Amino acid sequence: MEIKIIELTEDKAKLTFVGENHTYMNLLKEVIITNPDVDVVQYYSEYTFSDPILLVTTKNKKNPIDIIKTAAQQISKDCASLLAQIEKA
Amino acid sequence: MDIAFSRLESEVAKFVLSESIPAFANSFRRTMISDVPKLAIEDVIIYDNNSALFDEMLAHRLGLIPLKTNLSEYKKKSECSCGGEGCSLCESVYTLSAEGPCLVKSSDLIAQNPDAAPVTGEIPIVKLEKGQKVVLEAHAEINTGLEHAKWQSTLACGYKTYPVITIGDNCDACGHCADECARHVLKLAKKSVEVIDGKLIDCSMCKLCEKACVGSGWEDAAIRISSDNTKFVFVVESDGSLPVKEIMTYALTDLKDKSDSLVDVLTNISGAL
Amino acid sequence: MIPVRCFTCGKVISTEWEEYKKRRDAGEDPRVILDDLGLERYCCRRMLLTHKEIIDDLNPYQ
Repeated sequence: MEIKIIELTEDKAKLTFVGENHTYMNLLKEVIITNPDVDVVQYYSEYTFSDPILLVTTKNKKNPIDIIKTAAQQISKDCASLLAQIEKA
Repeated sequence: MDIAFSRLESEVAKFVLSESIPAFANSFRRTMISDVPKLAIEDVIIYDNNSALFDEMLAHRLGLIPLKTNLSEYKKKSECSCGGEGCSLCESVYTLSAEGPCLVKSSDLIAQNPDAAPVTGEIPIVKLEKGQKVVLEAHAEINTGLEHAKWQSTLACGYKTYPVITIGDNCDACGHCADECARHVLKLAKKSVEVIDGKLIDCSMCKLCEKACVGSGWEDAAIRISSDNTKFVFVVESDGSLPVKEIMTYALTDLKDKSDSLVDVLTNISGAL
Repeated sequence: MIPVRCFTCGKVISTEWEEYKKRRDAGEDPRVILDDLGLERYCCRRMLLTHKEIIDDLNPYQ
């Protein structure tokens, strides 16, 4: 996955996800928002097929990158557990 | 997250995904539809065609024929070492030659690699009269449903939230709701209506029963339909080119790989600060 | 010619056409035939129900 940083401060991150679309971005956004340290999280695509931009701001100067990382790890863990269950089925 | 299959065959799967969130269910569905690759005919070289169908129409019909796909055997053309020129690693070649009078079927499509033959030989391609002739060569390649629906390996692929039917104490067992239910989910018991065992999953949440209940004199309906936002009833069907299990595994692996690579990239970013 | 797949869901329905035509012309109820052929969804059912074969009318012309 390729990421471009538009803005990165200690409590705010604005990243472009190259080649992604709603399929992954919506899931990522919904998982990030469950984190209580998050103030605002949203993603948008400027045009229908342009690369989506994710905006994350946090409370108490928490590192936004770590928060996105935790969310991605959570998704990965969920997929792995489902894969193991399908394998057995 | 848990998954429980009620049906798992090579072409159909029905299962309940529980302890999940709507966003995950939707991502899973979207990935299965548009990000799972398969083989489909893309380029057709027509040597001879004087049938009633135009060349383009013939090529379109050929493209829609599902082909058995072994994903370990072929790669996407854009990712192939041949640089997109087309080689045996990213292309499967078929030849067809037929002379009328006959009905050309997909079994007339001779695959160079028998493992990538059409799923069924019974698909009619064109009907030829006496003197009409079709001779062509077709090249199939791997791509995803995002590019064109012919590369979409799922047919009906969708989910609904798990229905929850609550029947209040004020139910007087008038039975109007059970009569109204189009899916026959409800039955009349002694004191109130009940959900028939195993039928709950059939409920389409149309709420006709709620209306019937209010219509029979209650101000507040005794029966209430709601949905459980953490449980999803899935149906996945395959067109035969890939087994359903492989479609599901591929989609989940795809989501997992994306997340893992995102973690790697973010680790690099925070390390660079 | 009958479309290869259902326009809406993508199920291959052209394989069932020959049998459908034969049985329909023999006077059987289309509903029964479609159920037999395993066409469950109404998108696939309408593909066969509403199809008119015109290839034989077109064939004399190039």
